[in-house]
Amino acid sequence: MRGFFFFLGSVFLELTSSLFFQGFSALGASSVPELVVYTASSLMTPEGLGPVLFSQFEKQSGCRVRVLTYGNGAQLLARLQLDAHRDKRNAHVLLGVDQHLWERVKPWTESWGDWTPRDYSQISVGVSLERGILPYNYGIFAFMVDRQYLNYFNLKEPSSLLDLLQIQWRRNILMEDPRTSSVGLSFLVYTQAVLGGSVWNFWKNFRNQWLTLTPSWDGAYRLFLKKEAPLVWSYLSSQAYHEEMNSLGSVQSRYQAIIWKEGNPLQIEGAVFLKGIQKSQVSIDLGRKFLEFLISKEVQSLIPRKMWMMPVRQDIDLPLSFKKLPKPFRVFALFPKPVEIKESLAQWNRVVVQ
Amino acid sequence: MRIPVIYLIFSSIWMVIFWVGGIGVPLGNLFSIAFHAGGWNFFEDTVLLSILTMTAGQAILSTLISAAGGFFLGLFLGEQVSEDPKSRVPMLLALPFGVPTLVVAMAWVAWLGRSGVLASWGIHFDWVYSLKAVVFAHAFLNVPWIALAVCQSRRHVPEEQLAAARLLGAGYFSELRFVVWPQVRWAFAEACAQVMSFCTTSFALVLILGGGPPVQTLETELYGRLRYGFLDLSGAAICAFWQLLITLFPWALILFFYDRNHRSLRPTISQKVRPQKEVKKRYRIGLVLIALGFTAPYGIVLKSQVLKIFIDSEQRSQVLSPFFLSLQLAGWSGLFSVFSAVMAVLFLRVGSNCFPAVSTFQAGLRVLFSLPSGLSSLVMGLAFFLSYGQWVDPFEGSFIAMVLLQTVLFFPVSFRVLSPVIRGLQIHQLEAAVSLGASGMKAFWWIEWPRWRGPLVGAFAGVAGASLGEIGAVSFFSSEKLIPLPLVVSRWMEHYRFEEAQGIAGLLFLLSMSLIFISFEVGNFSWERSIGLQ
Repeated sequence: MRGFFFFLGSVFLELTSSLFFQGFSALGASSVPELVVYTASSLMTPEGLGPVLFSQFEKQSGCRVRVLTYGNGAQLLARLQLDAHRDKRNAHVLLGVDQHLWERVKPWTESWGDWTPRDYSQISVGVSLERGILPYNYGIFAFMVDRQYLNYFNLKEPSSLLDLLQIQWRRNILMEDPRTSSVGLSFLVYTQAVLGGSVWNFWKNFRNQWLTLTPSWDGAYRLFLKKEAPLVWSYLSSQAYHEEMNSLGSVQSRYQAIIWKEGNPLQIEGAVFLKGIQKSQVSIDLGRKFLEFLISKEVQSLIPRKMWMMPVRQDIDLPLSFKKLPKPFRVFALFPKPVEIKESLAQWNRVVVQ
Repeated sequence: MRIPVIYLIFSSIWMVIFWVGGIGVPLGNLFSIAFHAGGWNFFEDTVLLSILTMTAGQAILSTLISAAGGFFLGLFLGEQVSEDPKSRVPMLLALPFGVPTLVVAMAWVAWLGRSGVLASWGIHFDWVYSLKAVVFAHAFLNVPWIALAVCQSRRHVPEEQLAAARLLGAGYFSELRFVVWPQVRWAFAEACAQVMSFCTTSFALVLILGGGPPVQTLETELYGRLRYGFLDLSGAAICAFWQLLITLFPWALILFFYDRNHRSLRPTISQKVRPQKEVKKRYRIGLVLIALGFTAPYGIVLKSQVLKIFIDSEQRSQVLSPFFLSLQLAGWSGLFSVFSAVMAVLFLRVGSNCFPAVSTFQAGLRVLFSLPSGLSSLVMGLAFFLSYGQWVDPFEGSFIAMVLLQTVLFFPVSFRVLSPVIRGLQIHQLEAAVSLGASGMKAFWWIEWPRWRGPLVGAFAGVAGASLGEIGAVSFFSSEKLIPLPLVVSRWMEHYRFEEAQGIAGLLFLLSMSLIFISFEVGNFSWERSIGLQ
């Protein structure tokens, strides 16, 4: 018996000895040029855009792409701030900041100077951002509804923001926390834009309506698919996803997006160069090539089915499921300043948390 | 017989390295950055104060319910199993503490959710995403913890004292008040303090079952302040401070009253249990079922997905490396933590030999050694990252940083298990053995080692079990090449692979259960002193 434990101990030591010395190698020791990218985890799903995007770029440019993933856009921003605190910057490019985070990311971004990406003019006017951030996809936010659930409980789908306050939706809505999720933040900013001065009255009542407030979109959507509640704040393109994934092949899926009378808000995601690490012309060129690759026809045509978002180029032929999506009455492109966001979140905290 | 001073020197050096390098430098660095970032406004942030009230309120409520349920259950089970020293009931009561909280939360959603098992049977609870759900989950998880502590203490109440009380005409309640209570109260109080710490620092349960604000704890607020958008180090540091205060308060209270009561009524681990009597088989099965009932609901996560991990070659290849990494992490964290705790108890023991007058200082040290149990794993992870992260390649991650971080976080678990063992050192027997010619080492091996073996294995298992489910700290030093199992669960959730993530949760559940079972069998460990296992 003692021999057996001795054997187990030896195997354990053998296996772990190499692990102890892992992690202390110098960054960028390789002779092949490297591009370091920070991005959100959702991009790196096996079926997602990330694996194809980075391997294609490596093939085209002969470089090595190293990717670090951190949850969502807001977590990426926190990571940048932590890097700044310990004075160690690792990444060349940040992928996945939306317009709500853009102003906050600005202090860490490198300006484009007089460089303009190839095909920049192909980006739709409605989704272009200021120079320095390159949009590569966009989406329109909408509530997704589970029609089967509605029919079963004889509920009537809401068509306006204020309908959400009806008694029938009490503990029947799945939302994302605006402090931790950009999807949740977009709803807060949207309600401010639509309701103006009465927004906090709305939230005072609305806080009784959600079943749960999840830290991120995936948590809320998981509960929606588990039939915990019939409404979830998501994207219009979620409908396209369900239509294509519907194994029965029926024309209409049970999950559908709702178009509001007041209009629906827009999210634009972009990529930026980061300060502090662009030391050589090689790394600058590589970063530029990567951004250009992001808005190339090749990558843009992958976006609908790999990210379930809309491509920013106007000349991309969309899949049928995307063409069939309902058209919003109005699209809100909102660009709140960091100070405004901070103030909104503080007020939201006072109304909801206290 | 005195323990040689060389042990004091060695243990002092280790303690200095441990406290300075593992806690002082990282926390000092974090608090200094936080102070420069936004100052210390402890009472100005009204939102934080309301979260503080909610944290303390739910922790107190959860602890009170757990204490009430656990105390009487523990008394009942203790009374029954005192007749059966080989009873598996204590082990079964210990099982829930190995279950990662992520698994606990997933299990309760699966039971109580609107699409859950109970709903499919026509029983509808509509409070799964609310404060009630959080308190219920905390209480269900902690009742066996308190029951275990009370049960083990009750087991050791000498039959002669009970018989004498009965002979003198004492009824059940008089017997409870004058004979049983004095002998179980410290174990009960320590278990309650531990439960209070656990409920205060609770994260996954509150996040998943609470339904969002206003149901929040300081830990979930910390998560928001550190991991998202406006990185608020100052606010996070204040959250950490309040959290520490709430968790340390019950420990300080216990030590205060403990000292006033001269520590005389506390049973020691070396007390003998009564000889085995014949217990009816049916009755024994009934007791086992009661104890098992506190772990059984979590078994719902054991779906076919767990098997699929082993059958599906693609999933197996993705899980195998994190699986072994988690095992190795648990093993090393357990070893280092136990070693540090041995050094700490040695330091206290030898210190008390050398400086017998400074008992207040010793009591202070015992509170200090409980300190890491009140530290948020997120705060410690961040503090380590800010202090030592510059030497770590983010693409490689750092195994050693993960091990050291978990060693610090789980040190109180080992310390509390080993602390009573050194207090019961059999000095006279050791002296006798040495006078008869045995070397110090030989005397220790034959007299003390049988007492140490069980608690050492138990402490190791406790830390390893906790390490298996820990996610907050390791996330700072993980990389694509270095991902432990809990991070795979979280990543697969982000990748919408919900069913597969549940499979891993089931695997974690099985691993923790096996660990506790093996430690119980191998170490023959009585879990009475393992307060702090979570």
